Formats: sequence, structure tokens, C-alpha cells
Amino acid sequence: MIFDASIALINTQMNKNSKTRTEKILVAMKVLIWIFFIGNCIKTGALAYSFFISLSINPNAASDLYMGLNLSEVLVRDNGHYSFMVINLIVLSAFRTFLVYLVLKIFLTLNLKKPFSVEMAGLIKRISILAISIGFVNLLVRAYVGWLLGDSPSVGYLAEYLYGSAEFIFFGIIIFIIGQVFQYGLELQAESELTV
Amino acid sequence: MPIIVNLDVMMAKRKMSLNELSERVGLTLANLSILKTGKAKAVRFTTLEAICEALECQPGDILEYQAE
Repeated sequence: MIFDASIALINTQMNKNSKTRTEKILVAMKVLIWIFFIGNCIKTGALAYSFFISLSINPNAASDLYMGLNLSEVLVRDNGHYSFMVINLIVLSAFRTFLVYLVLKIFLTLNLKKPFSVEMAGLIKRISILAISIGFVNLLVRAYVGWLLGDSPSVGYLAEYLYGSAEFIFFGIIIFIIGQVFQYGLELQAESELTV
Repeated sequence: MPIIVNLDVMMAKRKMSLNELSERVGLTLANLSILKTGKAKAVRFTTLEAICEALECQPGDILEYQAE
């Protein structure tokens, strides 16, 4: 009897510890995601602002749009191509920011007592679709940049903005599958709740 | 759903309130209400057994099939 009680006490303690550990991990992740989100917002905003300045006030701004991104050569060559390319970069950056925002929203709406909710399933589905879209848009922009510039070495840091299209598509597909499993979990939970 | 739950009919026949049935069966009022209103997706045999025992009836008195 005493042995059973002590085992039950140890189990309760372990559950409590694991719960606090999970909560700690979630808090750490939330802080990281906030940092990513703010960083991405700054990046998108800075790109848009520099683009506006380079077109309207000072064309020299194209030589350092954001963190060394130098597209002055493209601006000199053709204004239209420059605008199209930078707008694409801004759109990609905005998409990534929105993706991080959706991940942040998951952390903000997550209820550990009842994790399977329609809202959560919807968020996971939206994240997967957005990630796949980012991957494809990235591919298109890369193809466009490749067509426009070839292997021009003078275009500084452009590659850093066009990274990971295949990774995004792969990530999106995996998230989509997880979303389907989550949806099934949601159905199971609803069925369990309606089982008397 | 083509399965009809006649719990309210049997409760009326036995003149038993939902509260009383809830106490006798050991189910919450919320769950009994889900069952009574036909929102339930599944019924455990243990629940059915307890309800039949409390209402002194057969499962067929509570559940009925009606083709749609």
C-alpha cells in the first residue's frame, strides 16, 4: 500500500516536472519566434523603405538596400527589372514574415489542456500552404534572377535572399502531412467527447 | 442519424428525472444531455448497462433504428 502510494507520488512528480519542462521549452520557443518575427518585420520594412528611397530620392540607395544587398548594377541597366526584382524580394520577405507570424499565433493560441482545436488545425494548414507558396515563388524569382543576371558575381548578397526554395517546399509538405494527422486527431477528440 | 435515442420516453415512463438518472448511472448531466438530445456519436456498453439497470429496461427500449 505504502509502495503504491510512493509510486503514485513519484509519477505525479514526474508529470509535474515534464509539464514544467514542456512549458519552459514553449516559452523559450515563443521568445525565439518573437525575435524572428521582429527581425523579419525590420528586414521587410527596411527593404521596402530603401527601395522607395532608391527610386524616388537617391539612386545610390540601391547599392546597399539592406545588409549589403547591392542591386545598383540592375538599376543602372533597367529601372523596370530593378523594380520587379526588388518588389519580388519584398514580397518574399513579407511572406516569410507572415509565416513566422502564423507560427507565433500557434504559440499564442496553444492550449496544452486541449491542444486539438479547429483553429490550430486551420493555422497548421495555412502554414503548410504558405511555406509551399514561398518555395515556389522563390523558385520563380531565382529563375528570373538567373535569366536576368546569369552568374554575375557583382550582385552582392542577392543569393542570401533567395535561399532554400526546395527546403521550403519540403517543409511545407511535411507540415501539411502533420496537419492531416492533426485533423484526424481533432476528429478523434470530437468523437471521444461525444462518446457517452 | 438513423439511430434514435428514446431515453426521454423511458425516463417519462419510469417517472425519473435527469438528475436522478445521472446520480444512479454515475454520468454527468452534460453527458446525459448529449445522449438524450441524440448528439452522441457512441455509447459504451457499460453506460448502456447502467442506464438499462437504472430504468429497468432493455437496450432496445432506449435505442431505435429508423431508416432515413
